[in-house]
Parts: sequence; C-alpha cells; structure tokens
Amino acid sequence: MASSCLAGLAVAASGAETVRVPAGTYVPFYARESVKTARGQEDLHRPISVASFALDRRPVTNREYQLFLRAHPEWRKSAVKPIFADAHYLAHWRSDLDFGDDADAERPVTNVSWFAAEAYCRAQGKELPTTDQWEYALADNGRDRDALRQRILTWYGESGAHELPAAKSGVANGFGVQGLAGHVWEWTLDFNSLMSGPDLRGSGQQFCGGASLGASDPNDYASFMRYSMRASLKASYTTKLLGFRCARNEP
Amino acid sequence: MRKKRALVAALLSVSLFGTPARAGDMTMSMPSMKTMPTPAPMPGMSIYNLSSQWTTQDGAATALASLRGNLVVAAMVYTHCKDVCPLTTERMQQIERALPKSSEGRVRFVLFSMDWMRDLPDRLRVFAAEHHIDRQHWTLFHGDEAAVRELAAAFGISFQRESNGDFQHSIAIFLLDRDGVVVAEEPDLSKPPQALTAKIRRLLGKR
Repeated sequence: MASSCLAGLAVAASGAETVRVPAGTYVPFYARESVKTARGQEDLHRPISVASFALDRRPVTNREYQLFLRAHPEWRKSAVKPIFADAHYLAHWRSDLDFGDDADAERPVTNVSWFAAEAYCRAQGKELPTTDQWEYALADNGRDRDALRQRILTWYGESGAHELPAAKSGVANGFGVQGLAGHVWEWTLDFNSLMSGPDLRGSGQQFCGGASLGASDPNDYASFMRYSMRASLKASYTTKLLGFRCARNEP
Repeated sequence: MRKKRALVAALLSVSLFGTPARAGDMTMSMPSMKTMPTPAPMPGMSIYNLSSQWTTQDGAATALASLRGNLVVAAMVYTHCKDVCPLTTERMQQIERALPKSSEGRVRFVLFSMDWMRDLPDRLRVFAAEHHIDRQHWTLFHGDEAAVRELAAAFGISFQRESNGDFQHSIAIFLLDRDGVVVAEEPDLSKPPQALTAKIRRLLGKR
C-alpha cells in the first residue's frame, strides 16, 4: 500500500506542504470553561477533543509571503491600512516586495499582523489554526514532553539574540510538523479567546461570564509564557518574533 | 503579574507595544453622503475598511461602510446572554434618551451579534422587541464566524464560544465618528455612560 506512506502528506495549491494531524485530545494549559469534577471541584485537567485537520508543515516564509504580496497589493507595506497592521509591519523588508537576500527568503516571515496572516491563509484556501489546533499539534501526544519544554525555555532565553533559522531547519515532531517551538511565536485564529489568561485577568477589561480558572500544570512555565504572549496581543500588532502558519479543517 | 507581563514584553520586540496612537478625531467638517457625490477617502483607522458582510434584523445584506455619515454607538453582544449584554443595551438606550431631539437621525445605535449560530435576523427582531429598541435609530446585525472574528479583532474584543453555545467576552460600548473611526470607548458599564454622551454632544455640535 504505497498510498498509506503518503497519507500524512499533502501539497496545497500554493505549494506549501501540509501535514495531516490526526484527531485526538490534549489538556489545555488554561481550562476553556468551568467544569466541575464529580467531587464538585474545578476540573482543570479535562481533555479537549480536536478533530483531524491539515497544518502547514513549516511557518510561512518571506518568499511565500512575497508571492502573496505580488497578487494582493493591498497588503504591501506602502498600501496596508493602519487598522490592519501597525507601523512596524514588514519592517525588515527593504521595500514593498524586497525581503532581503537569499537566506531571508527561507526564514519565517515575521512583523505581520493577525489581519495580514489571516488574509494570507484565506488566499491559500486555509485559515490560521485555532489555539486548540496549534497547542494540540505542539503537545504531540505527550511525546518527549520534558525535552520539548526545556527546548522552549532555552529558546525563550535566547530569543532575538540570533538571526532566525530557515523555516525548514526545524525538527519535525511526531506529527511531522516542524518549528512549532524554537523559531518564532505564531498567530492563532482565536488568539483573543483566552479569557482566563493571566494578562486579561489583570487588564481591567470587564467580562461577560468571565471565568478565571487556574492552570492545568502550574509548573509548565513554557506554556504560561506562550499563553501570556497571546493574551498581550492586539490584531494589528507586528513584531520581529511573531510569524504564522496556516491550517485547513477537514470537511 | 506586572513582572511577568514585563518579561513577556521583553521576549517580544519592543515594537509590539509601540503601536501607533489611535487616529485622532477626524470628524471636523466631514459633510454627509447626501451633500457629497464623491465621498472622501476612508481614513486608514476606520472600521469601515473591513470587508465583512453583515445582515440586518430585517434580513438585508449590508457592508459596514453603509453606516458612514452618522455618529455610531456600537457594541458586540449575544442575545441569549443573561447578565451583561442586556445591560449593554440598556446603557446605550440611556445615551439615546440623553441626547437632544435635534440629534435624531444623526446618531445610529448598532448591536453586532457575536453569536453567528443563533442570532439570525428573526431572533434579533425578537430581542429588539423585548428590549423596546427603537428600530428607527437602531440596527442589529448578524454576521458569520469570519465577520465576527474580524470585527472583534478590530474592536479589540476578546471572546470565546463555549460548548453550550454561550460566549465569554469582554465588554465595551464604542463611539465611531462619521467615518467609522473609534473615537471613544467605555468598558465600565457599572454607571451611566455620561462621558460617552458628552462626547457625542460635542461631536454633534461640530458639524
């Protein structure tokens, strides 16, 4: 059965290679909603089901983003509306279509806003992954959990100190997904959904039905940082360490 | 918590928090659509740059830009919400009552539903009737999931849909100028929105 060897791979129309991530469950760092255990306590460890979906194997690169800009001039940095991207949008590009040298071509594109990332994915017939999809792909069914956490923490410690590595240089996890940790932070479709994120709780925002639940694993500092980072974002923000990849739900 | 946040900020580039200031008050002398055949370019910070389509409580497909020309008092709600959303509507009605008669037809009150599954136009009409909403001055909008996500992102509203179909979401009443630029927002619904009302009066006097 030659086809089964290839079942996990698909090439999208854009040329970006996707990986099929099978259905499964994971325990989010913050509970999505209040659920009580049989003994009436807050259940912080309830697994979330995630349906199978296609996820870009690697973060979107500068070269891929350039192709998008050729076809969608409204997203070039000289044209983009400030409501969609702040003044730092594509700050590392020399001009509208010039991302730099050959090494830059293969690096993850960063300095992109949520609006820009979502527009890119829609142009490929995809969407940004949901936070659940992204976190589930990272969790990788618990494979090498401690090593993964350590790798993330090491990366946090040196973030910004080096040039970004090429997108394809990331280690593939058990799903075959590369670079979820250790390259850039990545946008998710619902980055603004985590009501129980620590920053939102202290932000002075008022919530309808706002739960403030604890973390499933208070020692998971790597996840704490990631959720805090997402909660600190606004959709027009851009930064040199924030990129994205796209996903497609299965019908 | 402040320390942790500072650490997160340090991990991200400085530019993340150096976002441009919200575009200023652009309402100075914008004539209404009626008197001006070619509308001026849309300001870059206008919500009306969003391409999403919405449907009114009467089933009419509408682009956001159709609101251009009036001051707009807006909020995102869902009609099955038991606590804060009815209060949002009530606070907006307080603004409506506090405005002078002469402002009629120059201020539009708009509720955007974030409940793309349940708040179809029929349901929005029922909600409007239950809350004695004056549909001459109000519009209630239904949008699909993508439209809701895009608008919430633009407003800076956090939300998530729960497994029972209800939502957790942050709250604010927004004031848009005649070009759709957010010029004020009130997240505190614990007291009457006097600051917003005062701002609307000032903007009404400016034209």
